Amino acid sequence: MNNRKAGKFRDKVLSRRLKWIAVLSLAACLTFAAAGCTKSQQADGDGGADLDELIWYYPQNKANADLQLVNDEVNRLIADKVHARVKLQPVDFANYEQKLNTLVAASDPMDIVWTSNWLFPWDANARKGVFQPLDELLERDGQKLKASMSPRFWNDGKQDGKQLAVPNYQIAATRPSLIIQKRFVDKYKLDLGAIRKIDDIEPFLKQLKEGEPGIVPFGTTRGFYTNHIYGIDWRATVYRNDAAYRVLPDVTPEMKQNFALVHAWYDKGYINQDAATLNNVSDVYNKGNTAVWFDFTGKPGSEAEFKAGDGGFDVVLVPLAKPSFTGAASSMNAISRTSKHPDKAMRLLELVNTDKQLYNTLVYGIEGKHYTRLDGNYVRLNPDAGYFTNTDWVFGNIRNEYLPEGAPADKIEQTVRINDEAEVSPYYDFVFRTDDLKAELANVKAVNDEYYAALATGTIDPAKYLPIYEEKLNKAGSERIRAEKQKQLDEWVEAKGKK
Amino acid sequence: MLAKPTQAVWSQLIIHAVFILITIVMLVPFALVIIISFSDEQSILHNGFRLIPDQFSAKAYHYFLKTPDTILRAYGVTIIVAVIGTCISLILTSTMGYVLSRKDYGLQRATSFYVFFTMLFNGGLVPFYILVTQILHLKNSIWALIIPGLLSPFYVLIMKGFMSKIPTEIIESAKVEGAREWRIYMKMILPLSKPALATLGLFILFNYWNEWFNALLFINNEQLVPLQLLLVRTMNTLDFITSRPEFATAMVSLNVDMGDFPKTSAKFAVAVLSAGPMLLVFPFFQRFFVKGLTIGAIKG
Repeated sequence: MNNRKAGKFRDKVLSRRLKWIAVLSLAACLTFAAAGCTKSQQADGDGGADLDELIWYYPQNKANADLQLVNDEVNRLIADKVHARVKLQPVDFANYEQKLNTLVAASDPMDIVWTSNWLFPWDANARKGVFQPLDELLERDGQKLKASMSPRFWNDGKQDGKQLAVPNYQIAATRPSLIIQKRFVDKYKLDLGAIRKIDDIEPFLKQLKEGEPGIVPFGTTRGFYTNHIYGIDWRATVYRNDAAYRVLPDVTPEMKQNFALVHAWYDKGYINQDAATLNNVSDVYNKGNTAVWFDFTGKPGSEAEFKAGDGGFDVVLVPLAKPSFTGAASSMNAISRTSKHPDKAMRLLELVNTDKQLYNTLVYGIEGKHYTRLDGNYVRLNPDAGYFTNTDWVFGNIRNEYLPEGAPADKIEQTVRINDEAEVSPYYDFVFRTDDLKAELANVKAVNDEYYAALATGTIDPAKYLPIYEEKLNKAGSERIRAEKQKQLDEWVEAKGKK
Repeated sequence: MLAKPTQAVWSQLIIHAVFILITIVMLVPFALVIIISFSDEQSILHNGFRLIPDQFSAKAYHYFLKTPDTILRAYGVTIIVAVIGTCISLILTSTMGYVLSRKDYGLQRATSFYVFFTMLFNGGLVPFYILVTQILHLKNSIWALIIPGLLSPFYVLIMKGFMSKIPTEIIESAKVEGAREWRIYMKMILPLSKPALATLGLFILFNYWNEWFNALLFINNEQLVPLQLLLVRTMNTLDFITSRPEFATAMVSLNVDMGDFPKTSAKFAVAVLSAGPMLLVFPFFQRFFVKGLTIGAIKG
């Protein structure tokens, strides 16, 4: 009897508690719903209720606290010219592709969407019909934008003759280069003009090894074999002057020669001991004790960036090959097929690419708050002020940008010069379709993961391991890949009428 | 006379020793996680993981707690989502489980199959996304974090299994005494199901606490980013940027000197930051587990 009473009492307490929880959660629900309402009302009544809203997705390094402030400022700048508001929707680089794939599959409304050949791949998405053709829009609303770039840039945003994306003007060429710390160049009076190919640096490495204890003469992570410096076209892996268009195997004679050279350097102690196991490229030089390293792109202005990353030592950049045009597809903005106002989106793109103030607001934030103007074209950034992208190339034409302190004064001129000088690959519109070779490619990648870094950094002896590597590649199907590439290339050549 | 106590002492000692050993085996990994998160990166790289590192360093925490208001807000969002979500979810799961467990409910089999079916087949990511954004219009709302996790078919079936063990006689006797369905559910079924409610409540709480993918999909507003997404994003971004040569110079922008960024200890700091509060919650639930076992079904 007693027991039951106690039980009843407990139940009463419990049910009372439950009621409280129910009431509380209901109250919470209502508050949130109400909060939601007021928020959306505010957004609607935000001055330009009559203006259309353009949604722009692009990647970012990290979230910026003052994004809304910058977005408001951008809206102020474009209100009269585009007659629209824009909603900036940055997504972290690491999640960009996954999120955008979902949004696109769900036909989510968006107007401008950033795309490239390495993240959220543009050609696959273009084939799926994610982007709108821009030719007419460019004629009508984007004349100035069209005139701002040469056809070699526009070509990279084309598929089947239709313009589907607007490339962002930036460095679009690579020139494999050596980066050398200036203090050693001065000390040993190195003649930079005499260095034309990679072997020419060897006597300097010997001097460093003997004269500078504690300094790593040459730093590398994955070696420095690259087709560019051996006269091989990077797109089709064919010798540049080969009239027979013969696709080369994975292991070329040049690669053998390069691996032998690196191994000799490694044995002589010129190369960092941990070369094959380092993951980050910056690990090579960020301690400041590496005298020479190899940079695949040789971007103009990268001297300042390396100086910031290597402990503050000045460096010089020695190009080893003529720049080759690698394409503008590495950063582009396209107009989504779900856009309701493609004409306004195009006008916004034109404005971003031609209006200096708008562009720099997107890149650096609000003047006086996130950055301050200095003499000339320079600005001083305040990375802790709440807005800092450091991705000028995501938004548009970098020729409009203010230079951050420390960048070379002629960074933009150099970029333009190298882009114009760069040789365009004769195979620029050859696309190797690998849909049927997935297994082979995965196997080859597995072999490369196992051997490539060790061989390319000279850590293991190529005389012994290169034949093993070649054999494993063959087993993995590298010859089948080469044959397929040859077949496609032959078809391409025939279609072009070159043979 | 003397032999007996010593024997008892000995056996007790051995029992204690065994349990002390087991406790240590369980505690050491936890301690290790916390210690590594406070270790200096260089000493981890050189000596591996150690219980007593050469050098302590709070650098990893410094990086995450650099902007305390961000992480505090993220904690707030996660706590709100987890608490509201768990409460509503428990109400839904238990009502549904109860209905399915009633043998006098005519469509019991059909409804059970309907619930079970969703465990095997679902629409996939894109229809899910369309449902939440275009039909429910929950984009950028905290409800997008709560509603998708409200009802898990698996938990409903567990609940059903537990509740069908409650003898029908209890329900019938309550009916005889004049109780309506709602009263039976509140006053009889719920108190009797406390162990199941506690277990599932804990699971559901963990799910809400650890959820970040929904937030990645539906939340663009930085104010509503939950803790797990914040940490996942930070780690992903660092991985992404450090593994790509194109971004070697972008590190300058993140204000992190990659040379001595404590990547390994940061991972453990993330574990501590995200799991810590849950460790505190667990003992609270444990009380119910023990109590649940002692509550008999028909007694008194």
